[in-house]
Order: sequence, then structure tokens, then C-alpha cells
Amino acid sequence: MDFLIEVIKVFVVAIMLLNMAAILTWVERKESALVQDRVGPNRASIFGMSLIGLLHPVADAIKMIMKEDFVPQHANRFLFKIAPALAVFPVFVVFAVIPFGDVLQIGERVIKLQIADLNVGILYIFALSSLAVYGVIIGGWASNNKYSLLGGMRAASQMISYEVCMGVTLVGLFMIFGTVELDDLVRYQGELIGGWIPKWGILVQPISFFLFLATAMAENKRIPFDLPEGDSEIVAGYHLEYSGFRFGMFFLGEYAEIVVISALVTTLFFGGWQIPYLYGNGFHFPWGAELAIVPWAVSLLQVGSFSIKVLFFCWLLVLTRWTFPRFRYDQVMRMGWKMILPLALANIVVTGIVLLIFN
Amino acid sequence: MQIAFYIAASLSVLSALVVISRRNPMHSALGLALVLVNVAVIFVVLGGHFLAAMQILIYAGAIVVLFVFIVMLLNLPDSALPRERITSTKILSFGLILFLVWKLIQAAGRRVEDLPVLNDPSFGEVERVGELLFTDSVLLFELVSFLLLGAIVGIIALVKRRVA
Amino acid sequence: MTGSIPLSHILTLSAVLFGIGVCGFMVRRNALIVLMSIELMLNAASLSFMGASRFLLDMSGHVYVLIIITVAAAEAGVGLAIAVLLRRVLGTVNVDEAKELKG
Repeated sequence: MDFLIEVIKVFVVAIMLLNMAAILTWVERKESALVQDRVGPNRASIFGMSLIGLLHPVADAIKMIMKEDFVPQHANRFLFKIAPALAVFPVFVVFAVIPFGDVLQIGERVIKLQIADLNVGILYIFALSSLAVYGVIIGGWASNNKYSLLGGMRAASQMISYEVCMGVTLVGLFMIFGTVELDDLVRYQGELIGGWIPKWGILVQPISFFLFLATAMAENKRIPFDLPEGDSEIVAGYHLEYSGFRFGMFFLGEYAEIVVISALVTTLFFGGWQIPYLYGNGFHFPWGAELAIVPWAVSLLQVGSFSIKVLFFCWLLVLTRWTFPRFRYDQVMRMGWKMILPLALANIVVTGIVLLIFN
Repeated sequence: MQIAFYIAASLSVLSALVVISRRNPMHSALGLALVLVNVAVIFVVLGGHFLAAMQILIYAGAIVVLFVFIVMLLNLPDSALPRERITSTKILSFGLILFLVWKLIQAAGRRVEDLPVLNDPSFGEVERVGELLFTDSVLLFELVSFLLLGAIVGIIALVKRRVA
Repeated sequence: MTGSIPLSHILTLSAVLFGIGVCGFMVRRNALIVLMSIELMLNAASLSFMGASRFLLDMSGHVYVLIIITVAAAEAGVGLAIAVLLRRVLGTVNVDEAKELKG
């Protein structure tokens, strides 16, 4: 029975992630249309119903599956074929440690709303997302195309640089909460400062939040950091030679990564599934009022709060893409090594001094 | 757990053979990444969760990516790859290495005891490693930081020089 | 859980990996693959540290593995810089051709 529950959790999370990624392609098009004052996709329809363009992801998926799966001549066939899978796999397994709710109580049974609570927590996420670069590099190298190779090289250097920053930016947060376990991090964020203000990550480590968001965008390889693709410079970079669903997998991986980043930002800085003043048996407001809620409704509210925060950050990331121009290659490198890294290190020092004074 | 160890062990040996036997350095680098991931799996079996994460994060995620980056940067055509010839010295050294490994395995064979049962749930956790690193081994930690600094300065001095 | 793995098997694996590393180091002429062989040897060393640490239920081995990883990073950085220089100066990465002291 326990095993069955675990399997169901894994399936629910995986299907949610896949669907979110598909829907995000629609969100991206509609939002770009909004930004550029257009209508956006509205043609794909079933029986004359276009459902404000929501059928376009379905049409896209069918198109990509039906297309020819083309392998260029002189490409390394084996590596060319496994590269998309290598790019997608880490993004999906990362979600295993993100808690999307507290506990769900059904009768006697208490179910933890997190697939795996690992002691290494966030380090697991860093480790696996550092493997995501292999898919991109191998795809770029195996295509045997100079633009792909350039894209792969850019991806390698950019992702190594920003991975360093990504780890360092979060150290301040870990110093304050004293843990790297995501479940504990979320629990600590439920505490209140002075009985009123929730102790969310953004309030205790604001600089860390902005730096982390910037590095996470760079890891995601989207505009303004889409150097590895750079359509106008190196055609399409590492996925230039891909067609059909192998291209679709790179595409899917990118959107799934947006969801993962949003979930991570939510978990680390915006209290995860926490709602201020909501405890296991209902709201306890600081001015003394109380509102009792049944436990299953509390769980539902928490999952809802997590989802809404994640959706907000997905929207923010998509909006960022359509707002900024692309950086130049040297600008990306300079920003990573000479601006974000020193700021993050300074943040650690300041946090350490403050912690020393107050403890 | 036991079966995971033996699968990871055989996979790591196979991919290590790929590393040293392929002509194309890219294949070797990917083989090395596979070795490292398998060694990380063995670390997990041995209870070192933190070290397994570090192994993948730093080793497979950064060092080998650096190797791959350099292979792509040099972009060596097949003609520029060194020709590997079998010489008498190589055969001799191969024999000596076999002897060395044989002796090492013999020495290892003396410790046939099974690993003790792990009762301590905090074994290999982040907090314990951190505590050891900053108390008992703090000198080592500082020395290694100097090593890294030296390496950075050395690399910049090497590569920054203009070659006429 | 891991009670049924003898220590000797871990040490044997470590010895085999080390042997493969030495073999690649001695036999191959491509500087990049020579560097990768060094990584294999370092990994074999950290494997036996982990095995011994688990066998003695003493965690100081973990610290040494962490140090080994750091040393490997420094070594790979310097080694690859030299490989890039070799390619720039000599046009090849053959370690046999780098026999002049002054480059």
C-alpha cells in the first residue's frame, strides 16, 4: 500500500509537470502576443471550438510526432539520438525533492506531499541540474555542424559559470535556516518574525533572491541568456540539426525547467506551500482571531498556494523573455564572474557577521 | 543495495575501459562521466550521500564538462590525434601494471569481513561532514584552498601569455 | 542493508580502476586521455577511502574524498591549460612530442 502511494505520487507529479510544460508553450505564445499587441494563436480547433488557442500545444505535439526523425550524415548516430533524453531526464527527476504540500491525512494514514525527503536536499537538485548540460553539449557535438558545436561550447561555458554562482547565492539562506533539506526549509519559513511577519526567504535574504533568479534564468538558457541558441548568430545552436520529437524533447525540457525553477524559487524564498498564519487546524491570526478548517481542506489550500506561487513565477519568467534583448557573450561571462559571484560572496560575509552579532 | 553495488561496479569498470581505449577524446570524456556517476552510486550504497552529491556536482558536472569543453575547443581533426603505437616498453609496462593490480587484489582479498551494519542514521550526512571539515581537518581545508588559489594563478599565467 | 558486501570487493574494484587508470596513463599518447586516466586513479583512491570509512564507521574518510575532489579540480584545470598550450605551440596534443623544456 505504501508502495502504491509512492507510485501514485510519482505519476501525479510527472503528469503535472508534463502538462504544465505543454501549457506553458501556450502561455508563452499568448503572452508574447500580449506584449506585442497581437491576438496570438487561435486557429487550431475541434468542431469549431478554438478554446482561446489552448489546442495549439496538442496540434504541436501531433505535428512533432508525425515528422521525420532525421539524423544528419556524418553525425554520431548513438550520441545524436540519446542527447535529447539526457537533456530532459535531469529536469524531471529534480522535482522529486520539492515539497508541494505538507501532509495529507486520509483516515489513519498520513501521506507526505513530497516524493523523497533527502538529507542532501538542494545539493541533489544542483547535482542533477549540473548533469543537464551534457544533453546540450552532446547534442551540439554529435550533430557534426559548426553552428551546433559553437552552441554546445557556449552552453558548456555558460552553464559551468552560472552553476558556481547558483550554489554560492544560496549559501546565505542555508546559514540562516541551518539546513539544506527542502522540507525543513519550508517549515522554518512558516515561523513568524515578531509574531506578525512570516519568515519567508525573500525577507531574510533579498539579495540572494535576485541573484538566484538571475542565475536560474541563465541556467535555463532563455532570452536574455539564450547564447547557446542565439537564432540570429548561430542559427539555432545545439538543436539546429534536430527534427521531429527529438527537437520536441529539447523544447519540452526547456519549459519543464521553467516550472522547476519556479518551484525552486517558491520553495526557497516564498515559503513553499506555507500560507501565513495557516496551521494544521486552521488560521490563527496575530490579532487573536481564529478560523478553524478541517485538515484535508488545509492540505488542499497549501497545495493550492504552492501552485499559485509557481504559476506566478512561470508567468514572470515568460514575461522576462519577451521584455529583454539578448546579452553579448562577453557580457554574460562578465556578469557571471565579475558581478553576481562577488555580490554573492559579499552576501555570505554580511550574513555571517549579522548572524554572529545577533546570536 | 548489494545488487546496486555490483551493477555500478561492473558498469564503472566497463566505462573506465572505454576511457582508455577510444581514439576520440570526446568518447573518453563521456566514458569518464559515466565512471563518475557509477562511483557516485557506490558512494550512496556506502552511506556517503553528501559525497555522492558532491561527486556528481563537482566531478561530473564541472570537471568533466571542462574536459568536454576543451575537447570541443581544440576540435582536433582525426589527423591531429596522436598515433597510438604498440611498443615493447608499452607491453612491458602493461605487464608490470597487471602484476601491480594482481598484488593489490591479493592484499584486498585478506579483508573478507562484511561491512558492519549501519546503525547510525546520521552517517554521511551534510552536517557531520561539515563538522569534521571545520574542526578536525580545518588545516587540510585551508591548505587545499591555497592549492586552488595557486592553480587559478597558474592557469591564468599559462594561458594568458601571448604566443608569437 | 549493505551488510552483505565484503570490504575486499570494494578494495578490489578500487584496485582494478586504479590499474586501468595507470594503464591509460602509461600507454596512451593523447594528453587529454592521459589527464582523464589521472582522474580514474583519483577516483579509485576516493573509492577505497569511502569503503574504509564505511567499514570502520568513521567519517574522516569522507573529508579526504572531498579533498581529493578539490585536488582533482585543480589538477584538471592546470592540465587542460597545458593541453591547450600544447595544441597552440606544437599543433598537437601528443605528449611524446613535448620534449623541449622551453616552449
